[in-house]
Amino acid sequence: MPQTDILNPTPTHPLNPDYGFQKKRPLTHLNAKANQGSPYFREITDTGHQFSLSWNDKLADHARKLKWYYEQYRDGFFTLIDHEGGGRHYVGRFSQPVEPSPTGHNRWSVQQVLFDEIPLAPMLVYPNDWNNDAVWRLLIDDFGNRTVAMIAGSWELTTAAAFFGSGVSKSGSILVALAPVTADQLSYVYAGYGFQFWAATSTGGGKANILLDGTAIGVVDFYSAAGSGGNSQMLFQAQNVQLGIHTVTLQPTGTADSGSSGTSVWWDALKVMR
Amino acid sequence: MPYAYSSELIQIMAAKTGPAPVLLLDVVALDGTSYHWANRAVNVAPVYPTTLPGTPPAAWLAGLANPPADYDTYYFPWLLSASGFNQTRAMQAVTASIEVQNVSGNTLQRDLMGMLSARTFEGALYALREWNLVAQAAEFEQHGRLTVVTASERICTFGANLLFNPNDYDGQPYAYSETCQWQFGGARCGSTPANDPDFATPCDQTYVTCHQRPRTSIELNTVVFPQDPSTAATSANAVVYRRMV
Repeated sequence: MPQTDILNPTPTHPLNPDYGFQKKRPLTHLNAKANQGSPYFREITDTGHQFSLSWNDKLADHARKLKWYYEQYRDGFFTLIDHEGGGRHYVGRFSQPVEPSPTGHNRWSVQQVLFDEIPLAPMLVYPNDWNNDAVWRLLIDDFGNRTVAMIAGSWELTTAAAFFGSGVSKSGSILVALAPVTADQLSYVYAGYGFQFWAATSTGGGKANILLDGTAIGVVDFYSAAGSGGNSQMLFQAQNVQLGIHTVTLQPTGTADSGSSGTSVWWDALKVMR
Repeated sequence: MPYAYSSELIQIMAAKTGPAPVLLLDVVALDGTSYHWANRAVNVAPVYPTTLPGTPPAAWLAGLANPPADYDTYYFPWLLSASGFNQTRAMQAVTASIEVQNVSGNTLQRDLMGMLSARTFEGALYALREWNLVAQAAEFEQHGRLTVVTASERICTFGANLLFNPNDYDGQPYAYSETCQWQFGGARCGSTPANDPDFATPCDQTYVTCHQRPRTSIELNTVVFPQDPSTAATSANAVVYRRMV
């Protein structure tokens, strides 16, 4: 359980890195663009965040402890908390040796140590600031390309207003399966942590399994007695998901709540934690 | 074949300013599906409905969020580069290189990878044109067949071979030689005991010993000896001899 080993459990902990460390996320996608065309995009890697950390004016014990974190976890990972960034946890390791240098009597400095986040590592607290850290992954991207794969079945691309009679979807369009069977599936691949599934509810909504990387993790119920008026809302959330490239699959069950007039299911958008 | 430019096109091409020409690539895969790719999105373009007939890839088109109104007048901006199209006076065949993006698609599958795995592009017909937007005419045009060189995660590279490629032709299947290549008495030689009274004495694969000269497989060297003035007067015969080995 290396994720339980927290380098800086509190904001005042002596191993908290100096203020203003560099945070960046290396590119995780490919672009291809014709000379005079719009760009195409594809996620290809699950590389995580990268921090450049420094500790100035530390006691020898602290410098030794930082060095220990490098030695202990250079082939593993530990947790770093970004206290200035809302207390978000990151699991990773120092990718370079920690080399303390003396600055005075019993005073040491450690400069520019790279902390690399490790994908597919369990976390003590998964990122959960959905308003600030999560991004929309829409059914149709900004250039008009459909991003959700239709595995099988008859899915109709339409709008919330056309299908529900009113409402606005997050993606501008929705994919609807009117009387689906289990084989009628949609899939979306993203790079990140957890996700939220957003869609409208309706009096004719059915149920669908949500699969993450092929494993069923829950059921989405598209039925509500009042309906959502075609407006999208969060119907399912999977928060405790490790950083990686994940496939979300919507698998209709062909069933519905006893009050529903149908079994239809639809896809609007995902909100993905980055 | 000389390429004829209209006087208007020549005038426009000679201008020092103007939009960059667009590369238009039309492809017909071996199953008859057609593809129109360019280095910009071109709608209402002069495609090749007659010279490169094909059918749209219906299943793929059905999956698009915004399919073009008319597939055969729309070029998708997938063409990243086309280079190495050389024209020579010799019958020299040079394989050009066409790079097409392999990124677009839904998040599960790339568009082009799906096409490559579903259809045969090896040997697909192509027509590449460098299209002058102002003149609405082609500055360069080449027809040929594609070969799939590599398909990486970002780019698929096709090799483009001209339709006129002397390397593809079967030439003389035998070596040019002064030694006959037929086996004596074989079917190609034609000598049999019935038609060859001297059948018991096989030839030694030379023209002079051949029993079936009309069927011989020998390239005769024609040797012209320079006429020596001193001997010319004494010779009344032709001075061109066949060298008979």
